[in-house]
Amino acid sequence: MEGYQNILIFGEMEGDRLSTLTTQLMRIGKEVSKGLKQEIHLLFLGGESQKAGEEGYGYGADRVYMALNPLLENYMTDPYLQAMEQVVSKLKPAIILFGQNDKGLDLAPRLAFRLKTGVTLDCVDLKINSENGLLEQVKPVFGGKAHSHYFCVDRHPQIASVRDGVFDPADYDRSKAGEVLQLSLSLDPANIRTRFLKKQEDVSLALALKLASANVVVSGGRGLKKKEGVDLIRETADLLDGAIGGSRPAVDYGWLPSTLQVGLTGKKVNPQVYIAVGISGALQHMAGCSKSKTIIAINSDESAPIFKFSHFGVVGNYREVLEGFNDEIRRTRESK
Amino acid sequence: MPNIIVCMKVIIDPEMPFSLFNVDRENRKPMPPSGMPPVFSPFDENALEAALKVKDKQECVITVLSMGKSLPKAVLQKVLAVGADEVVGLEDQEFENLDPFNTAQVMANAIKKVGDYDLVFTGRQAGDWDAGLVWAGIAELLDIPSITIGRNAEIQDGKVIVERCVSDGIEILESDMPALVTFSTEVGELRHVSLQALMKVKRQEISKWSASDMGFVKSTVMQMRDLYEPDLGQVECYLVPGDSGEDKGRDLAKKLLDEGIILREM
Repeated sequence: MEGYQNILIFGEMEGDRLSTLTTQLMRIGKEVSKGLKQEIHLLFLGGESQKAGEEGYGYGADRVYMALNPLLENYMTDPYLQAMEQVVSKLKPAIILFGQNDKGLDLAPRLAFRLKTGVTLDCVDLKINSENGLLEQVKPVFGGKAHSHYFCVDRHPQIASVRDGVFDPADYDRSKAGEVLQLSLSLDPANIRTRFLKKQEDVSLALALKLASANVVVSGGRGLKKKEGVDLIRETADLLDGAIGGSRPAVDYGWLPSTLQVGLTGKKVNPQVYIAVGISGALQHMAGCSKSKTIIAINSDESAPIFKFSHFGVVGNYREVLEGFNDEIRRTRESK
Repeated sequence: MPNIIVCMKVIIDPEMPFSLFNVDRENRKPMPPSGMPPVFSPFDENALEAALKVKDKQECVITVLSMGKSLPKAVLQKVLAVGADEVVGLEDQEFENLDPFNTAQVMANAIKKVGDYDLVFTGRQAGDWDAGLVWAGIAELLDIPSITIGRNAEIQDGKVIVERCVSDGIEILESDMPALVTFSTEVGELRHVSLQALMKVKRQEISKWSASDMGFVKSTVMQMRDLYEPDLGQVECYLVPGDSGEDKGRDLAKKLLDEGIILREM
């Protein structure tokens, strides 16, 4: 369309490696690029690791670009927007894909409006439509009750962000290599209207990291009834070598920090075991945990929707249920 | 005195049981159950709370711009009762299920019509279509800086200091004003309204602007070509039988252990 070609992935590095979300973007990006019969390019703004850049080729990139500039050191909307405008002007991508994370949800929308084009955030599927050759953007709406299919017609590039954890990481082929191409950008500090003052690491960061990687998650919701309920689910989590999490009401009531919120606008987890305690099963919550291998629900309300999504369930007072449960686990651990 | 504009969308209640909510695939429209009172989009309530928190610390004027097809007076009066100074209802049939690109246009036009402002606060995304785009459109159309997912906003020496929530902590950012900030649950739930406060504002008049009052002209950027209810992934649930909660808890543990679902290494 008017000289716009190829898929551009907005990539991120974690140290010397691609971030997990970036490897997922490489997988879906590759599928989409095949549909278009065009190339897939990977872009890093501000990331410094040459090694991570080269790793991009192993994950399937046809070209990897890096743009370094002191104004890109800490993420802020204005300098990153300026940078993306210049990148789009140089590379003219047909499609740009972002991950749906702090940067993606901030940069993708504003970039789209800046370029007067369209965008869909938090996509759970993307493909090239065989009839019109456009990017078909599939997105959950109404808390996940429905899916919408969107098209950006007559404007370019087509921009979308992809939900974390929906796609597997791309396969890595270490035999694929290439040169990381440096892009030089001229960013004007006079056009930067915000300033980064400092970063505060979250006190609950360790818990949030644990939640992201745990095999077992014990999550509490409104049904915990009070803050002390968290102590009980923590006991269960510890007995199972797992992590704790929560639904939005538990965070709203101040029982759990917001970094442990699992759901549509919170964390997405996919542990082997997800135990939902006093959680009703609203779709906004299920969006964060439905990929768990085994879901177990404990709720005093037998009509709670959570039981429709759970493999195992107990209807009862969660305190009594967990006391029996924890005791049985404790006994089993002690006898081994 | 700083002026804060808070954009609040009125929508179908996102907390309603999802079994009650259906979709008309042919016409690509949601079909909520009739008789359910509309509510403010939850993250927009967080945005109002953020503005009230600024007002707790310093004098300012809070104007709420509320958009919807039909805006019940009782819903709008709630924002006055809770501490906003003014509310303008942007009410028009045209605004039903309006896409984010056009919504941003409506809101930006309305903000320009209000005139003077230092801050614009909105929710990070609406509880119905979950697009997460309107904030960006407003900021671009007004050509003002923006910060997303604030946990706190404070005005100091003509700038706004925002604590921005990111995955591994909090970033403290400073922005020139006027600026736009989006909010999510982290800033805190909207404070409760007392009955007395509601009674006090019952007689307050609320201005309403229509699409033509704001010079709104619809355009097409994105097209929605399908809307349907996907398989929600419901599964067969084994309900643990038993008499007491404690017995059921024990039996649950035993079953999960037997099936190797937990503590497999033991």
